[in-house]
Amino acid sequence: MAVPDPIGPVVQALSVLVAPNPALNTGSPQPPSTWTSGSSTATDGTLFTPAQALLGVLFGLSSDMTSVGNAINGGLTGVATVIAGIANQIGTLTSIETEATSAFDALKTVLGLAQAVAPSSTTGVLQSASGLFDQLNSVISGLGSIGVAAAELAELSQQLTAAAPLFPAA
Amino acid sequence: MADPIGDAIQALNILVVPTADGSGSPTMTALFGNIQTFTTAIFGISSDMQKVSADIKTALTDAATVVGKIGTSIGSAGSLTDVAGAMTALQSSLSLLQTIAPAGTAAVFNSASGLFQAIQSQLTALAGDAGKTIADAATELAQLAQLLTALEGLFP
Repeated sequence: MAVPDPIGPVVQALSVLVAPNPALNTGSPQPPSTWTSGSSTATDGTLFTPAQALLGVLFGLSSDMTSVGNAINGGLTGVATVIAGIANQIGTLTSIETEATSAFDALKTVLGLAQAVAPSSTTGVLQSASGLFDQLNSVISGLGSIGVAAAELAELSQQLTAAAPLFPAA
Repeated sequence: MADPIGDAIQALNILVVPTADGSGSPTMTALFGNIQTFTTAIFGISSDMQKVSADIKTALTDAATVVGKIGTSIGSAGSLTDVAGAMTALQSSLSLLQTIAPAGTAAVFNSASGLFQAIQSQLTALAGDAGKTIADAATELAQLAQLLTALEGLFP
């Protein structure tokens, strides 16, 4: 059974607020830096301005609400940075896609095996690590190629960066 | 029956190849360097990711130590079936203790019981694999410990 694309629907849903700029060419995906380098910014969607006005009022109601808005702004910016970093690094594996996915699969298997015989205090960490490589392979297989996976992650990072100003900065 | 340890070692050969007896240093492939560059960058993205990486490295060290000691220990035992039987007995006894022990110690017994159950499961799989002896099991465990140690290099 085909694994569904886990990122595309999120990118699509966010597009009513902020749309990736430029659009992804899935047939020949652009490098992640197209979206992560800062040379282009996401395009405001039809709902961006109304949402910004509404959220500006909402998070200005009290100091507590302003603090929450600041935290969301910082959180979005931080997550966008991490996703951009992951996108750029996944992009470096494009030329060795088959080997890389095999390596991720092997790492997932052996970390899962180690987890079975490791002291119980370490099993959570090994499970997380095994899950990370499993997730990487799921994303790649769901999107069809490493190039598309890297590009869609880069698009998402650009959107999150652009969405952060919806919430007041500290 | 499948040999899960041998299969895992085989799968990892694209990254790192163990020595024949599991001692000394394994051979890293070129792909290991590519993946190392990738994971080093990924886990260097933020301080949280660096902590996760450090925790994984520690967990791999602990797992390699346990696997290596099991390999050394079973090498001097009688047969795979004997060892698996002993593990089953230990697991059953600890499970029983867990049900009647004070609540504070139940978690420890549960953890130990789970460990013996996991080891027994792996050894039973090896014993069921045609031609596998206790020497094969000891070698495979030594190789797995060697590979787990090598994989620490993927996590900064």
